[in-house]
Amino acid sequence: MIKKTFLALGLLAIALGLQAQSLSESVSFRLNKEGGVYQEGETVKIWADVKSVPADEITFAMFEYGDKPEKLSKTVKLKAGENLVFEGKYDQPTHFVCKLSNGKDNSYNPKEIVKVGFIVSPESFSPGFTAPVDLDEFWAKEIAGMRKMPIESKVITDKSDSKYTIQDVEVNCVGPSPLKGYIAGRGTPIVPADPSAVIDTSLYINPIPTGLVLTGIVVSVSVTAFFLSLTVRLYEDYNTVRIDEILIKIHAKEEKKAKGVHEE
Amino acid sequence: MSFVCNAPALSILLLILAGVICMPLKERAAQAVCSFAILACLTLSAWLFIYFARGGEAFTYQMGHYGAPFGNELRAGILEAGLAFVFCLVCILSLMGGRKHLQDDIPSSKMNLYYISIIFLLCSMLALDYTNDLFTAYVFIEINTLTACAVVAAKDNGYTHAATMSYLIMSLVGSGLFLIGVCIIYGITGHLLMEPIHQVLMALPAGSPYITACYGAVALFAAGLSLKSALWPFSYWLPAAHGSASGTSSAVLSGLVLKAYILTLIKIAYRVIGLEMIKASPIADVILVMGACAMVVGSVYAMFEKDIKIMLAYSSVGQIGYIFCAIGMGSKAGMVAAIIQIIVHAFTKSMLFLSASNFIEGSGKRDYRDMHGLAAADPLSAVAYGVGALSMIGIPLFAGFATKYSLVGAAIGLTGWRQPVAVAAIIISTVLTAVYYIRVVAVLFSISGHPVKKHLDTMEGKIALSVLIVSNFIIGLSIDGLTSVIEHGLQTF
Repeated sequence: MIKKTFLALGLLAIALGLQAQSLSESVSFRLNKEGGVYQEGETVKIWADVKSVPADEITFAMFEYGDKPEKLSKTVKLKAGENLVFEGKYDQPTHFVCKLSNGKDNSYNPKEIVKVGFIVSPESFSPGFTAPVDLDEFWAKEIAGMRKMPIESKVITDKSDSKYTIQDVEVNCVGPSPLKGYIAGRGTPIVPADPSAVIDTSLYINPIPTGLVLTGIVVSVSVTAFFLSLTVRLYEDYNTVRIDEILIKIHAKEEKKAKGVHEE
Repeated sequence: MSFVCNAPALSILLLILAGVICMPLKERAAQAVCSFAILACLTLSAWLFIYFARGGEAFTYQMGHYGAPFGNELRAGILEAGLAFVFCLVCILSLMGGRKHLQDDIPSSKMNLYYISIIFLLCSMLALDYTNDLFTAYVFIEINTLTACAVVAAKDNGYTHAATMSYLIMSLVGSGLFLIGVCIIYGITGHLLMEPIHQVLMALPAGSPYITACYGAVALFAAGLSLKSALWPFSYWLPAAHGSASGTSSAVLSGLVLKAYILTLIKIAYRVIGLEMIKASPIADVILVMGACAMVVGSVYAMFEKDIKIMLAYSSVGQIGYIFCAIGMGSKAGMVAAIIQIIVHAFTKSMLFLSASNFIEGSGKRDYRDMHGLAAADPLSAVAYGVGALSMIGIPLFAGFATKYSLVGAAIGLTGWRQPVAVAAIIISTVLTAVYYIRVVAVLFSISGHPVKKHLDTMEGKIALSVLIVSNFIIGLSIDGLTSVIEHGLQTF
């Protein structure tokens, strides 16, 4: 019994250890072009070197994102010391994503996704939607929409590169909680993360109609239950559920009473 | 804000808690919990009343500290505290006075369920008294309906079941109308709290189509609530339900439950719509006329009724007519008279029902003509009935005089056709009331006596009836004080 427990604890410790080491740390990627940006028609070559493997083997899934949303091009299982060579020629703008998993299951941890290179061709690049006719009007509308949202922006400055300063802008919605009901862009008003963010009540879903409907349902259910129980009792008393027969019986009883025959 | 300001919320929550606790308890324990909870609420409301009487200001109590557009509010002033005190006092006295009948009518294993119904009934009445939110009022009206019907059906026989059925159907029609009214008001204003609704309605421009819709909603409120509080001609369910129920149930239903709805109507008139708007609409006149009719018709029905409890139930129809007539006057004096009548009738009618139940138990008959000489066997009940009867007629010194005095005062202030209608209704109704009450008192105190079947001499019942008799005199002797308290309460209502 004790042995089994220790064994289980040991396995647990190993499992935790596996969790701790990131897969992407144990793999290094090399490209045949510095910077990883290719022109159309250039040959793309990617090496993935496995330095050390936390699990027995790593499953590589190489995805291409081109004109189609997602294309799985290669799945390879590698052990420590082995490497993967990925090669191809592309005419379309494409980028490559390598998803790593420890081979036991096919689920990919979002942290273990590595972007490894992309092909640009400015001529044929399209952002996925048609350009607006009047840009001023488009941006005015977008900005008005953004201003309505209670947001908080944060600038994160990264000076890792000596030549450039990279600024990352993080935008968070601070007003309504993320539980949104069914109206796009609107949240419940009861618990805003920041009470001072309640500026414009038009932003919120009003919970009262929902409350009204729910209360109506509760009331109708309880009333129905009451009516049914009364009906059962009336049936027990008068052996019928026909209201006219019941009324006749009650009436007959009252007449009896009026004549002086009292029930006791 | 001092701690006493929590009293409204605490008393409602305490009653809900007590109701839940009673669920698994046996009869005696449930009785103890119920009495304790009601006494605690009585103490809390007395404390609150004293706080206001010493100059405390009326306050709005936000449940959970959420503010006006979204939150739920209670509101308390001297009037609400006083009425809560009356509700708790009459409720506990009715329970004490009718305990003997309850034990006969309800099997001991189901007694805890009866106490739960009474607790929730009182809870819903206190909530209706204190709430400042229309939808909360609706929810508690529904709770009130269900528990009131349960309280009637508790006396387990065919007649009460049929009576409960018609009571439940009529009550639900009433609450349905109320709910539609709430929906219309909510649709117009987007609020359920009373003050924001009032602000939005005041801001509506004259001639706006919404004002017509708003009158429609007021008419629905008035119709729904008068249906539930048995304003003639919607009162056909009342005699069966109130007359057939057990003594305590009749006392609480007639004395308090009807009043809780009327109080809600007064609240809507004052806080939601505003007295000016009510006065400008024909609704007030309709209520006045219907109230005046109820005063006369209820008394006429009672005159032809031989069953002592059903007679009292018809008398309630007439007395409810007084309240509606006073509300329909649309004036401050009328509102004061209506609230005085609410208080007076609560004390008087519960006392009458309790003593009538004692007579039925004592003689074994329900017909008052079979009750000759019962005063000799059960003097306290007979005295209580006599005091109640004289109070109903409006003899000075008795509580009912306060009603008649303030009502006549308010009626004289009316203009046009309303004045003769109201005054005539008051006079005719008073005469009829005198006729049908005095004949019962005469029978009770007659010398030739039937043998009495059972003697009711529980200490508890005697205490309850004595307290009711004494409070009747106290009210009758303190008309000025009562009027000034109510006027002060209505100013801050």
